[in-house]
Amino acid sequence: MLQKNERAWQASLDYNALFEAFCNYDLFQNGDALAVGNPFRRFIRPQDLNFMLKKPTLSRKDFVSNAGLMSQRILNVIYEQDLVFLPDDLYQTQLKNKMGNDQQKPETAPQFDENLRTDFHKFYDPHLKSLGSLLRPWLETQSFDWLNQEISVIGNYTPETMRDYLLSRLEHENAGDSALCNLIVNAKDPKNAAKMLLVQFAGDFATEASAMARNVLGNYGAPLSELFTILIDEYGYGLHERKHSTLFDKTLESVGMNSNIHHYWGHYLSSSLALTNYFHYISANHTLFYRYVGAMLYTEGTLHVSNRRQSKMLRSVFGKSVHTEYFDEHVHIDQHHAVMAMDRVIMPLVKQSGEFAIHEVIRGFEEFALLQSIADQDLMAQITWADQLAQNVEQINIADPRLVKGNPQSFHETPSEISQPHLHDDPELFAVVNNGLDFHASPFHHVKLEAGQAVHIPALRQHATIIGDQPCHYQTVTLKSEGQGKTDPAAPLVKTTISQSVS
Amino acid sequence: MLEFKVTGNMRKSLRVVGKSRYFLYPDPQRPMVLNAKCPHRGGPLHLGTFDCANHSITCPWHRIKYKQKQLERSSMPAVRVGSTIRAFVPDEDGMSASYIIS
Repeated sequence: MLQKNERAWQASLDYNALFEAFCNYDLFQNGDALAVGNPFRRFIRPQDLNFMLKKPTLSRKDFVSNAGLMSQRILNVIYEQDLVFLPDDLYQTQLKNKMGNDQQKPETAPQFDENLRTDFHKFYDPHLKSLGSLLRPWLETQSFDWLNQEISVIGNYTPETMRDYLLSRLEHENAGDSALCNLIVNAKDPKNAAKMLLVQFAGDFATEASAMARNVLGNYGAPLSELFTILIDEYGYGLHERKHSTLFDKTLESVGMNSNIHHYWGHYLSSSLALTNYFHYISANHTLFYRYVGAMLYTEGTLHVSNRRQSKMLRSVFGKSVHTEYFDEHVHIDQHHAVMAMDRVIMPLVKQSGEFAIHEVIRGFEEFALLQSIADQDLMAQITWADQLAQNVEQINIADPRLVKGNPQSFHETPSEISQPHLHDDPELFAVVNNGLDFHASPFHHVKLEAGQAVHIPALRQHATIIGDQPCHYQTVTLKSEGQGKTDPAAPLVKTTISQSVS
Repeated sequence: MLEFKVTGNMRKSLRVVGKSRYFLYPDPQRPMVLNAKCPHRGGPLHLGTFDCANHSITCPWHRIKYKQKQLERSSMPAVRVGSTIRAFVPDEDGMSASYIIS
């Protein structure tokens, strides 16, 4: 809920013009490949801007909508302008040589060439950064304000009851099996399903603990120093080979994936981006500092369990060749971090700050738990759909009643044209009329659709297309879900009927 | 940990833990988990009358009215996520270190 001064601030700004100026930067245009070439170039589908601006506050149900996806992509850019990136080749090559990975060694030395330097300067351009600073509060309200409505911390706590509450919540969160890992192991194509999980991790792990670093500047007593020791571990206590992001790069490379920063940018789900962005949100706004330590406890207190399951799942899917040290390291170190976070960061903080701090710590813990649960369900729905994509291609006649009665939209696209990954808030039938295209449900799941073929796209499922070497004509028609809420990220593939409305 | 669904019915929200009983204050804007035992003579507060306009509960035994602000001071630690409320109450022995999970 906006306060009076926030409303006055927002009223003084022309957000349409500001967003348009931001989206016009060529770094954020759609580009000519599904993967991004460097960490500065990140398409955000500027054509969706009007949809995003129509929903200044999202709800729990629609924060993973198309508007939510654009909002999370822009927020991630804005937050990560505070971090330092260099083109991967400039330093990855050095590391790979040091690690004896000669196959990766390029024939010529990498160069920070003019094109890369231009992108580097644009990404950190002070004008773009200032623009982002103006837009950030609007986007944070849009993407995260619903958490304030969704969660209340009620009643009278002491530091001890707070501690007991949080420990029992961790016990509850860590109990049982991982539905996500089970889904992957039992998928038709477990390897590609597991890679989809690694893609979602990649956005977060590439910059792991960068949001935490925002909280170790300044001076707030002994808890700062304790937090700093956790940060040191995340950064490999000064050894680049031990830095957690370096360990995760090895995981990616061991299963044949690209470890360049944000190589899979377009395939991050909005719910996954929200996990990274949430930590930046509560770390960049220091009034939310106590929420930060609560959310941090959630991750440190659950990762040692979830990473054990994920390590086991990866070995089961890929065999011995997969590099799981990133996950195995967390199984060990996060048991220490959970104790450090609780006893040496949170407890001293709440004892010195009182009940306000207790409520905020619990709120941060519960907010992140909720976001994590939504992200897991969202990814499970995406994996389920992608895993069945090839089987869901159907032959369709142009006179099919779903197309005729559904008031379809027609698209004529040029050879090699790309629709970057996006989603629709309602299910769609996607039918090719002329020639063909590649239809992608993930970086690893795609089908070639020829004239007369169609595929059903459930609501909120991310997809992309690449036109073949001939111009392509295709049609889409919006379908209406029966039963399930259209914006439930966990909704299974449901039977559909034609709606007269067209998106 | 006790779980409640947000409801406007105090009587139906009653949960029993050992010798203690707890219920949900029925204002959806200010939900809270309360001990059902009236602090006066132990009457069943959950069977009392909720006054929505004046934000109070009147005990059915001696007609003592408790305002929301008074009740808040003794409400149990709890968290609402969506329409679910998890409350944290002492176990049968009243030991603060262990809690009932239902």
